[in-house]
Amino acid sequence: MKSTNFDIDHQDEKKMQPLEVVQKYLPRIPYAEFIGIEILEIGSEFVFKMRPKNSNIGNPALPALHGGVIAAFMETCAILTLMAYTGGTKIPKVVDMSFDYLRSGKVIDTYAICDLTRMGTRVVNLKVNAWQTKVKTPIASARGHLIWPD
Amino acid sequence: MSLTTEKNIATVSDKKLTKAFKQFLNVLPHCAATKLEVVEYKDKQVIICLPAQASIIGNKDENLVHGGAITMLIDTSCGAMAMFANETPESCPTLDLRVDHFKTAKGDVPVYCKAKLVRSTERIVFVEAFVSQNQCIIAKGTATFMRIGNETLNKALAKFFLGN
Repeated sequence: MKSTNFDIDHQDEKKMQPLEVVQKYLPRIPYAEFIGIEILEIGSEFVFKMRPKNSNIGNPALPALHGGVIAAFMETCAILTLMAYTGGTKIPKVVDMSFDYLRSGKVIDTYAICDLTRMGTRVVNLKVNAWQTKVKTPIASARGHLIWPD
Repeated sequence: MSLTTEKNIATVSDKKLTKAFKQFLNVLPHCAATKLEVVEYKDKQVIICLPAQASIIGNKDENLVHGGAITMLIDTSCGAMAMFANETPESCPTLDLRVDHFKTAKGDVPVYCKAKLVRSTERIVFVEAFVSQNQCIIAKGTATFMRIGNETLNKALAKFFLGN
């Protein structure tokens, strides 16, 4: 099957920017820094980590992370993953996102990984998974679309 | 025909509920950190403001608000609405949230979110919200919440937020 410019194979590591370059994108996204996002490289994939911060709490009684903060974390994960592919000249814009909350988020390290399901010529379809102690017990999942940054 | 359920919060005045909404936001650390402010509760809708500030920017190059900050505003507004959707306040975690971004939000202008209760059923609360900036709608949110509160907890919440 003939592939188009944007049908990027996930295994094609050459197309991804190195970790040092992707880390430089973070200061351009102040809200990501505000909620404590870090980028890790595991194997050839970027995994995003959100540090536990008191200011990220949405339910002080449990305590649990604010659902909106978990959403913002997953959205940032999607944006930065796409930027790692595009080279990050521009920050992609979000068209829509849909979040499923599966478990309450404890105030501990939270991880997320983004799967760019389809990179079309205009929009990118993606899925994000967020977990804390075990990958197999995700706290939230998301799907959505980003506009390809021109 | 209005979709809004008729039975909700009938016994409490709008003014008293506005105060309860403000108190609810005060106890949420992330809302305090982002300086979220309840404008008013009126006609079964709550309006919450996200003031312009450096920490919610998602695109420093173009000075745009982070989509996630808009999502957080929608989640807070809808969550607050769900909490006060029934006769006594109830703790309602989010099940599902969908956000459509129609337009980017400028970083130097406050953003407002108006959340409206669509329906409260035995187990689930449905809320819908519109986000605007400069009188222009920039995003839409649809959220579903689960009613998990038990009687003891609900009574405690009623005492805390409504003083009864």
